[in-house]
Amino acid sequence: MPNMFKRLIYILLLLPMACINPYEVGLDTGEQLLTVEAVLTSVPGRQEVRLTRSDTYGSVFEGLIRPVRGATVVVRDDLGDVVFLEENPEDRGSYLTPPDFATSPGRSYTLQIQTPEGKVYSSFPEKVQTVPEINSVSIETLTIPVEGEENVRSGVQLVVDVQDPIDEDNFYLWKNGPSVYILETRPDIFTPRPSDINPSRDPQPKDCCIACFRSEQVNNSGIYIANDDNFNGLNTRLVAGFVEDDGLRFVNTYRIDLRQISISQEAYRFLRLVKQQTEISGSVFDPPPANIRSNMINLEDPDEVVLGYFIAGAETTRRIYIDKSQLTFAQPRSIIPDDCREVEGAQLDPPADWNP
Amino acid sequence: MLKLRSLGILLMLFWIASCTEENLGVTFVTTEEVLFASGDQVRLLGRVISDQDVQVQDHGFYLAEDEAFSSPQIISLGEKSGPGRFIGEVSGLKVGTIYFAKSFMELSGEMIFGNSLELSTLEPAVKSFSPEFAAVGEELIIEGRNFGEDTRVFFGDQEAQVLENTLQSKLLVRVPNPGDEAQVPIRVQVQDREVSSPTLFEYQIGTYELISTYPQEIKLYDNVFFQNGPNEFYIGLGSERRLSFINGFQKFDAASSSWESVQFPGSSRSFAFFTDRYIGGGLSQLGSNPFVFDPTFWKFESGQFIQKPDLPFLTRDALAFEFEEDLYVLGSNANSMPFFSKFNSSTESWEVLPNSPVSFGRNDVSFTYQNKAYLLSTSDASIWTFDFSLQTWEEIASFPGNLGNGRGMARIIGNKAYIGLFERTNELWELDLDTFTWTRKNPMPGLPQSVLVGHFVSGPNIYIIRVPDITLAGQYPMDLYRFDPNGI
Repeated sequence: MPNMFKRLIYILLLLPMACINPYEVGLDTGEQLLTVEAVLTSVPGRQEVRLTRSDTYGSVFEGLIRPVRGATVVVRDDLGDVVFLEENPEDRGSYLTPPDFATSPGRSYTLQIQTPEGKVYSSFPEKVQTVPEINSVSIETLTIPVEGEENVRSGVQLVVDVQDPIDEDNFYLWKNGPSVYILETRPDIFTPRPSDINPSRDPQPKDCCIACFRSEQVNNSGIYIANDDNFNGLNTRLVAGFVEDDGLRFVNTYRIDLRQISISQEAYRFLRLVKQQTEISGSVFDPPPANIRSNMINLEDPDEVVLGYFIAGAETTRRIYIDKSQLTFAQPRSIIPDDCREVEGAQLDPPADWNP
Repeated sequence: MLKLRSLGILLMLFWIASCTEENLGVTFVTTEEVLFASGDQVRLLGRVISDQDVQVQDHGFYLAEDEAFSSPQIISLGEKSGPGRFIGEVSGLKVGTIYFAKSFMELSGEMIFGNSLELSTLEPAVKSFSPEFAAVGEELIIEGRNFGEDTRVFFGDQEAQVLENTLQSKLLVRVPNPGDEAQVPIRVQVQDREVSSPTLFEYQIGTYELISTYPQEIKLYDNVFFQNGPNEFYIGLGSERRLSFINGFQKFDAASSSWESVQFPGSSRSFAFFTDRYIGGGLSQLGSNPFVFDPTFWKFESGQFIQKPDLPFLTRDALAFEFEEDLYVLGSNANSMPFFSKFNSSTESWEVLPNSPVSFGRNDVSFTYQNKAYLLSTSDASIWTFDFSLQTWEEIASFPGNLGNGRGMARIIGNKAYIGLFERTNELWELDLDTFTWTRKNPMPGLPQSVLVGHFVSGPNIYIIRVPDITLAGQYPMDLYRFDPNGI
């Protein structure tokens, strides 16, 4: 009996030890640093410079990344030509160039910003290098195992074929451009949400429409960059993008414009460091955390930390149509039980330049 | 002994090994980047690099036109604590000149220089300006590059006031008085460089010269005016402030600038229709309760008023114009029904024409040019043509100006029509009848809230007389102006 009592005491002692108190990450309020995101290229159009302010990051909600409103933003080239950017009234913090703005290879550009508080920032000059054409774009199906899950993620890796110029150092950045795909839905199994007017839970099929053309902008989750150290002057194939299969995109035909942008060595170095830091996985072989320097500088306080980078480059694009038969692995088809026109960005008519 | 010697050697080795060299540190300065270069301004970025917390007595940049920095401009930024970047700015440089820049710091009394960078100040250029047509005193924006501190702007030879210089790329200037020409290049002077606009600036022109005043101290409304030849202008009938009728006319002789009273054998009237040779209709009594119409119809011929048979219709505020000696009258009758009639001068008979697609009256203006009548509707600013031979209507243009309360002027000189001066506006526009382009002319002097009393064409000029609106109390002289459409 006394033994049993002792055991009970031990068990009771173990109980409070098993409790875990959540650790609250207590951080000092972080500085609200100016963050600049801008990639201006040689393709004419309204191009964007996005200004935000960073905020404290913590284990619980700490602060919001806020747009910088009401700033004066100009882009100036090395001849002295100045382009004034207008703030997008529908997207605060986004400043747009005039509709015909394009960079010119050989010219250098600086971004100048005056914030509403009167602080003036300038970028270092960014020289625009010429960009070689993309010979072709091919695809490779990629599957990505997901830890703890049976189903793998998958998608299409975009691979460019480029003839690198021999007489110059080239630095490449690839970004996904606009894409369009045939979206197939199931209006025949449409079941509306029960309401006072229509309390039925039975399917109420719609007559239209099964197939639409859906436009979207799929941004890369990773950073796709390269320098020509290993292939200077050679023809080479490089992975330049990834489009995830969400069960809708590759059901029929998918089209994407791949953008190839020449960037400066400094911009490449910045993006490489960002790529390294964002791809840290916690392994012992990871690079140590680093302070990545922006090319923006406060003219009155040059030591102020500014985040982001102003990139000016030349751009070329290549369009690719991907048929579902080209994929070696596809995700199970997602079902949208509704008229395809109800999906955001979808329309019945194909784009005027749809030519698979 | 041997042990002592070994111990001594060991101690010596320890002593040598324990010596530490004094760490003097590494401190230097670099010239990193030319952040900004314009016509006369440069912004440079330098950096003090050190492995210790240095105290620099002075730092900054040297700037010179020669690589040897023989007579440098020194941009001194003063003391600096610790390493880090610094920015220096200098203005007042020569445009389009090569310079050399290097950073410096003074550390413990020693001047240390960074690397040298070559840079060039930029050349100014004018890309565009807007608007391309403006009046004296209006503001104009010149876009270009590298407009330095002392930039001067000239319209032809006339210097303009520079109101604002934004980022050396946008000049806000006030249009100066014109010289001798209506179209001039815009010249921008930056130091010893001069750049011109690729296109010419056009002044808003048109001058008004006050030549006479109506001989009676009255305010005349709802009157009749016409001219006999290039020098005889008749103004009369109508009413004095709508209180009493005016009998007869005042004739102005443009050659002698003199006025003379002329009797009218018919009855006084308001709101009559008229051309240079015909007068008819209108109201024979003041007031509108009820309207009392005057049916009489008169022709002015060889300096005489000749009565013709009464009108086959009653009308007030009708619009009239002539073509090949025939008279056309548009308006509404006593029952407010629209009509369009033609008086054949050879047969002296009236003919009813199909109604116009929109209603016209004396509120609207008309002129004839080549084989067409042009009518401007003040209800929607549309301009219609009536083809006399085909008797067809066509809407061809729209008036860009202010229609005020209607009752404006339309006169022809050569291939240009001058349209405007509607009630309570002083705007006047020129319409090129070959290209159908509009050009705004200088506004008429005097009160903008005025009403036309008469307008006449003589040679290259238009003679215009207006009276302040009836709602303006007080006595105002009715001034007669000579308008030169091309006057500068």
